[in-house]
Amino acid sequence: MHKLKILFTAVLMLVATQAFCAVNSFLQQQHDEEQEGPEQEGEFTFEALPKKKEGLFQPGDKIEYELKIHNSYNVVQEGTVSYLITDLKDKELGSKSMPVKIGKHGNGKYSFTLPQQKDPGFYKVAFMINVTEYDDTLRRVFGFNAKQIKSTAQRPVDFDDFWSDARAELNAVKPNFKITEQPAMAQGGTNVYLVEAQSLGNLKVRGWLTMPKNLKPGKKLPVWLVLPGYGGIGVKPIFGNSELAILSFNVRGQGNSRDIVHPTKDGYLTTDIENKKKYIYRGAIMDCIRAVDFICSRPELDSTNIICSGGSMGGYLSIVTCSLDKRVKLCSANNPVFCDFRALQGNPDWPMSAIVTYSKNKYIPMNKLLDNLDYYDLKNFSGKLDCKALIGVSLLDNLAPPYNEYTMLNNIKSNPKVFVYPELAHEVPPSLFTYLSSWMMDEFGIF
Amino acid sequence: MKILYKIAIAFIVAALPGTVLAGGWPVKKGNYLVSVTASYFRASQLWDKSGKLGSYDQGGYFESRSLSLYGEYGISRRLTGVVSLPYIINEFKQQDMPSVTSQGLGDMEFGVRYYLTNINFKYYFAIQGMAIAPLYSSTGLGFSSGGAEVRAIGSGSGKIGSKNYYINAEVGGRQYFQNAGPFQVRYTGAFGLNFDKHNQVAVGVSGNYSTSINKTLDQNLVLNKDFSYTQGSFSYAYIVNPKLSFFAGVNQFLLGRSTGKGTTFSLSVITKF
Repeated sequence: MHKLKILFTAVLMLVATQAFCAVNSFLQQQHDEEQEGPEQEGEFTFEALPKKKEGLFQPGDKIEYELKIHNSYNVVQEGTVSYLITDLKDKELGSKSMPVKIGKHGNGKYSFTLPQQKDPGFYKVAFMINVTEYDDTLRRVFGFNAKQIKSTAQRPVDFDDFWSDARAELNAVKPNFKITEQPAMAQGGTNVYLVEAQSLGNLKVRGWLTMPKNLKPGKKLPVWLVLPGYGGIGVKPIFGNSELAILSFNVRGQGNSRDIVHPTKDGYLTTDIENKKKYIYRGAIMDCIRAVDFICSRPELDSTNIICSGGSMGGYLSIVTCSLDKRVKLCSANNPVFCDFRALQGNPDWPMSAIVTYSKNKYIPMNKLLDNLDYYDLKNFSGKLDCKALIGVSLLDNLAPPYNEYTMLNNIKSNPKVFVYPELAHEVPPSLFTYLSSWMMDEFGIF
Repeated sequence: MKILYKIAIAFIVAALPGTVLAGGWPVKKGNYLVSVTASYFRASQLWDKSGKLGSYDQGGYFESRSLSLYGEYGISRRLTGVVSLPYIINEFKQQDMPSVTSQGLGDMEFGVRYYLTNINFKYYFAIQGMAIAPLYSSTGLGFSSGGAEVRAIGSGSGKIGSKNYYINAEVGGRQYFQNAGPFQVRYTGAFGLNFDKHNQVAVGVSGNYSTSINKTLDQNLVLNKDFSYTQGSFSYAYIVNPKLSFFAGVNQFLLGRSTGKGTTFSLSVITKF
């Protein structure tokens, strides 16, 4: 009886297993039928690479792109590849199409020479592929004679006086620097200090200083001043190595400097924009100068070896600080925003979108706002950038568009090291940070 | 609205320097790099003037033991002071004669290295000028002559896969200030690979092409002025931390003319502070 029970159980299991396999097989077959089509291995890829690695062409250069296609399907792909070139206002400047045929699991390489342009500037180009099993569009931007790009907007005649007055106003505020060790935040061999200072308008601003523990008496550390990007989150303590002090400084309205001034994320840009002497960035820029004042006040920090750095709004603040304050030795700015506001008119993206909305909601004429913004335009500061600088620009950046970046870059009389990334938007690759680290180390003599 | 902008802080911090380095790299202003090396060399074979290898007669040999102090000091971002001071014990035995031993301080070398340039902060180039001052009177320890040397140095480091590597190449001309010179062209090249944070191996080649009007070939190798050799080297380093490393190395003479064929064993400690 027991054996019979085992046998019955085994048969049941066998039947169940067969049934399961049959169901599986059926489902698989059904799935295969639903997915019927060409066998595919890996991904179909479509790339467009400028002949000049950075996507910047000079007069006399052939404006050439190479299209690379990998057909991952077990089907011959037939159709066309084409391009459409427009200016930044989407006016069509040229197009072309060519037939293509790519074998099963094959590769294809095609070259397009784009029409020569007359005017220095940046141009949009879309590369399209339309073949048997695949359609795609790649959007790229290339520069032509970019070093000749000039802004049509004038620098206010009293620009320097405006900022001299702001410095004088700041100098009249006693800084009352305060530095408080934060034992709970220490990591490994690095101490963290809360830094507090009174800045323009007698507003308290704060930052975080990290320094190695057990600093030898008399030793002075080079300082890396890190400034915040837009958004209010601000910068937090950064842990470096035993040869460097890092001051992550939050300008008003950012990070731990939001107790008194705390606009919304969207509202920060337009806080008091209608009054050039009250505009939030006047204070924020002076906060950066105050951070440099703090560095120069400390005996353990080397005031002759200061680098100021940041990305996006931090990049803007970095270039502005280095332009106004000659105590800073090195400047690093990636995708700095707020270059040539007037050339951004018509641009649907931030920051112009926020300024236009503010203008409409508050019934303040755009011209009035633009007149004020001329005092905050990065291109108007960059002519005074004398220190060594490392600047990252990305050609697909809609927040810091390359045309605007070049109106700022072309004003710089010193010779900044500029890295251009043709396939990135509002970002730079990790390799630039590696370069920045090595550059800083070399310039500070930290070998 | 994509406004937030993140900096790859962690990446930057991770990329900050360093290990104990010398070669073409400068030394940070106010910092020292000091090494102490003990070495032992023995040759029981000789290359003649035509490069033909033979043995010392009846158990003869040339042996040299030394303890060397080497130091670098960062004078400024570009300028590094360099000094070396060896204490040498040379022993020479010929046929059935009793061995002759000479010992004392050898040639002190001192000078400066100037950091010229770099390629993407990966390859560093420097030029070094050194003066040579004999601190002995015995001819058994060296040429007993002052001299000067100019040397070009290139060093680099990077990654092969996940491993760090370094390369170093140096070539220099040295002139001793006496009638018979000699004038020497000295060169060295090395490639090292770090297997992990603590262990490094290196291979290298070095040599000396020494020319003089004095063509005498003596079995006491110190006395020869017109000679040449090439040697290969292998070393292992244990890196305790970025400021302290221990090295063990072996150098084998591979080719030569008017000099001895032998092997050198050495132990070093290098520290940076």
